[in-house]
Amino acid sequence: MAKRLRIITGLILFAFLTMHLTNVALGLSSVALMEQARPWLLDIWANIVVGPVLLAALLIHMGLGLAAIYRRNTFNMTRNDIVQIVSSLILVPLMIPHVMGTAVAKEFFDLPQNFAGVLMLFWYYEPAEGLRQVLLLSAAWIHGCIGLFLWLRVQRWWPHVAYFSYPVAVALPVLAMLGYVEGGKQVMSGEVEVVYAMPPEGGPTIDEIVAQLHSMGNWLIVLFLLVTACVLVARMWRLMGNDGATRIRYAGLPAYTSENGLTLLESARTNEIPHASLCGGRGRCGTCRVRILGSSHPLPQPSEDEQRTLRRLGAGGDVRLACQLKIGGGRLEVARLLPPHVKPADVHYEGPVAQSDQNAGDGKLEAAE
Amino acid sequence: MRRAAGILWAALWLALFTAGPAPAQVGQPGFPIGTPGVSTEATSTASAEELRELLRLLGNPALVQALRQQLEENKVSPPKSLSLRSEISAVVSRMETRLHGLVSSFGAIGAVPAAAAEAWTAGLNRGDALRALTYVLVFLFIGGGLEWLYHQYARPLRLRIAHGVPESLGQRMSRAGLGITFHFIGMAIFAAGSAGAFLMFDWPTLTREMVITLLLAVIAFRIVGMFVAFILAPDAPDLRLVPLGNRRARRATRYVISATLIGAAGVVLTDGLNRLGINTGYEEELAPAIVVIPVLTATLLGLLLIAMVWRLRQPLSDEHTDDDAAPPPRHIPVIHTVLIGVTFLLWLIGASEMMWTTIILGLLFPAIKTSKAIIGNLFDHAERAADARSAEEMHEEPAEDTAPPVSMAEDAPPALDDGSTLAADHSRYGTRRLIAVRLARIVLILGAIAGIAWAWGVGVLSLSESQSVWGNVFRASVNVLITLLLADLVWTWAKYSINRRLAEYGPAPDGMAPGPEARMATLLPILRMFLMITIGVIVVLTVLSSIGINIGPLLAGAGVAGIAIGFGAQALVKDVVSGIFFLLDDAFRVGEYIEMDNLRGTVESMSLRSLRVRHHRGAVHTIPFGELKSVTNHMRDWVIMKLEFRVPFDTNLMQVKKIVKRVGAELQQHEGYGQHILQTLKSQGVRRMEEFNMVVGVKFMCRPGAQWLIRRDAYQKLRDEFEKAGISFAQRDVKVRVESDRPLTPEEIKAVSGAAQQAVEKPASELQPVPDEP
Repeated sequence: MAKRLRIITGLILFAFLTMHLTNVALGLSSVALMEQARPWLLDIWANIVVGPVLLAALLIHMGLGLAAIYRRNTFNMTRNDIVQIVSSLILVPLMIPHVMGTAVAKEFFDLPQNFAGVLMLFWYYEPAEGLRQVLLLSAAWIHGCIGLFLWLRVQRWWPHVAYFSYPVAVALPVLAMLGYVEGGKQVMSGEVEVVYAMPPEGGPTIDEIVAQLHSMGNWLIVLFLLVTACVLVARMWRLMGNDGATRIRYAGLPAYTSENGLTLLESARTNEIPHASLCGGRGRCGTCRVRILGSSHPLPQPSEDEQRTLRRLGAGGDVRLACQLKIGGGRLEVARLLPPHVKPADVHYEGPVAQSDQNAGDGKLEAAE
Repeated sequence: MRRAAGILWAALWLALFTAGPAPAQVGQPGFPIGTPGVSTEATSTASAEELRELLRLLGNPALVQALRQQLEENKVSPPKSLSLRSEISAVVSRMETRLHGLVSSFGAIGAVPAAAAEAWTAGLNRGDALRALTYVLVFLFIGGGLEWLYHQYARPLRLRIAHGVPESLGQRMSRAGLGITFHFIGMAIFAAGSAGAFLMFDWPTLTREMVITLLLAVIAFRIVGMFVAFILAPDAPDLRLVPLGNRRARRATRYVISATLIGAAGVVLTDGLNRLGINTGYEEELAPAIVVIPVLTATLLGLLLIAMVWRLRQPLSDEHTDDDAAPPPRHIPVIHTVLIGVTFLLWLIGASEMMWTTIILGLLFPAIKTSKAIIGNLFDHAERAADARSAEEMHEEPAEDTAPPVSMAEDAPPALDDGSTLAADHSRYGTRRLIAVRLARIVLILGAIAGIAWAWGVGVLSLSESQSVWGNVFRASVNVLITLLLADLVWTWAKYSINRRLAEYGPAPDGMAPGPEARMATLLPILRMFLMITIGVIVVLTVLSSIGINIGPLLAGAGVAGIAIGFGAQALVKDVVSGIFFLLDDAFRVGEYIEMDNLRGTVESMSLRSLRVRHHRGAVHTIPFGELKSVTNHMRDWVIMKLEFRVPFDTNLMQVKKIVKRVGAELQQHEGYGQHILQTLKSQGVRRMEEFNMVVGVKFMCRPGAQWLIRRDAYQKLRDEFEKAGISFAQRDVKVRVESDRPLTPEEIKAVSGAAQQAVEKPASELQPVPDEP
């Protein structure tokens, strides 16, 4: 359930991001065009139906991310995972001022924004904010793309689409950035008439509103940092319960000792044993499956997700997913069932995985060590 | 392990002090803020009037002529040499100025931030710096995006490069080359993407310069990172060029990268402040920072390098690398530390010539060691791969054979087997390894010489052309050095390849005729000695001539002596030359049974001049090659042996033929020499008729050397078979017909048989002695 929810919310957020960036990219043509396209690309996300959905998706996605950090056993991760965690953590402080200045200002303080004004603010009055936007865009887009990629790459049809989608993945943010730069140059040179949003008469003045937004944003950032810190502390607390170690041997490789509480995949990664894992340890793809050759301790029963994946693969009773199997002491001997550098296309290959491939992989490993 | 520190230290030092020449140049005496950029700035800001004036002056032909003349004179006349004392005092006063400048700069550094801020606000309108940073980020993102795209599309190729197991040295090299080309294209796309996007917009001057500096710094940093990844390959031990373990390679990478980062930051900061000062007219105020920042950067770099030298030296407990390497000697890091310290101090006092000399000399030995280690590592990998491949082939062979080999596997213990293949593989790349190491050494030493000459501001060519004492010494020593290095290279190559070929030719096993390699076994040592003498003579002559001794008389004298000796040693020369031609003709080889004139025997050895032949009864003949007219070789390809025996006239010839055929078949079955028989024994029928008997001929063809044994057995078996079949060999019998009508008396019988005996024995006494055979 959590897995599906994460993908769904992620997709919603990614769709929003895509449309927003498309809108900004129009700045390459002119600020007026940006403004014209805004109702279709940006404002529809702010209406009474979609707005709450977007907000909910954001909150759920954040919550799931924090939960994943809590559940993570080790911070020795693949490069993709490192990028995902770091980008998600810096995203929030980068994003809050932007959201405060645009959506919150419009909804709660009745300050409708237009692109010319915002660009002028970013490029002229608050260049630090402008810099922040570039960082925000990069972090959000990279985070979104990696998440999407990890989900997509085990799909059967992905290899056919991949080569066409890569240019899009680069072109959109690049065009958006260029549009942002070009739009900024246009408003700064005075070609575009800038209309600033003014608060309605009788209410608080613009300075008061800005100050209020600032303080709200700061509080939110502090809140986020606090929550993150709490999650990290809770995680440490959880991990303190694990003690002892397991002696693990992969067939054909030297044995190593790993502390308990990690999954088998994490322990292998920590000890530099190459291991296929296309979905990134989320139990989706089954490329990390291993055959249990022997264990001195009883192994925990496979979870619902793991059982489903194993059933789909038609695996025997002694096969487990390394990314889901928590090691719990004693001695454990396993054998990888797929070569460590398996390609997504191989996963859908209907037939036995070539034994020679695996042997070749093992041989190479031995040679490497 | 010990090499590791040296390698890294060498690589880093080189990378840093060549990547960061700007701090080394900034603040040299006479150029308090003299980066190369400054001079171009100065010319570009020259006023239009001045330029016009210059053009007008250059238009005057007389002036141009005078200038040209002056130039010529300058070229011809050597630079005015100062006395040693004045030179030293000049150097000392330069250092004083430099140190004084340093001290005053450190004193004045407190005022710099304020001045910088002032210059900043004066030079850049509001938020320009932040905007510049924004632009840089955007461009970097664009470049990075394009590069990512490239990597996605080139991914299959990259995976093939990264995950394939190189099988031979050539593959390994081409793979490494491909890898770096691959990354270099990515880098180029990144650079083109970011710079191209930058060029799409027009910018104010200062922003433009700042952005360019930052972009260049990022690109330079990435290039360094790429080379580090190429050499150290922290994630791919198969592609690593230096023999380091995974952890150590990673650690080294971290050090190099952080050192590069510090260096790049120092350069960017200095350059940025410099440009700011020039563009805004705050040069005076910012000058101290431009002196101080490089010093701080260099200090940090020096400390980092020292830390690296010490850290990389420490053995890592969990490293699975070569354990047989000797424990690292303690003095190496100490020497490196001292070198770094000395370099830093020399740089600080502005003695850049001394600094470069120290760096180059300090780097030379680690660099030679490094190149050796890299080359050794490359060849080790290649040999290991080749070993694995040959082992695989050996494992596959028995599987293909339906009948397992009888006793081969048990006879040869596996350890011995591995040893022999290992030895063969070491010789597979041995020559190339030696050559590569020596070539690298030559290149490094020449590079060091050129580098030192450059550091002292003398062109290598101009110095060697100059007629001063130093020029002569320089030229002579360079010549000698190059001669020695080249001679070493050639001699090593020749010796190694000759020895390797010699080692391949073991002595022929007993009973087997020596193969054609025996000729090479004879020729190669001669060739080796000849080469050694030739190279030695050439080297001595070259060295003598390059240190200024006229070798003409020497050569002439040698020529005269050569002629005199030549006349005297005419026979010797004839022997040597004809010996070589006999060898080239392949007339005989060591171990063969030959016959010349009236001498025969087995060739035991050959010297340059003579041939030593051992007669089968032990006598040793020594024959100068010049004396040989013709040589009969009994050991080539095949021999035919004809035997004959005498049988009485009443013998059944068909039976004889059958018996011979049977014996021939039996001989062929013999396990000792059966395989040497090419055409087995067969009867040739009656060869001739004699007075008392028929002569039956048989013959067989076999490999040289086996004929004696076969002949022995053939005779023996034929005799036995004939005896069984009731065929007797003919004997000489004399029939005496006595025409008498009475019985002979015993005296008469005795007389008659005595006469008959004489008649029988007479032809026997005329028989030739049996030819001598081994």
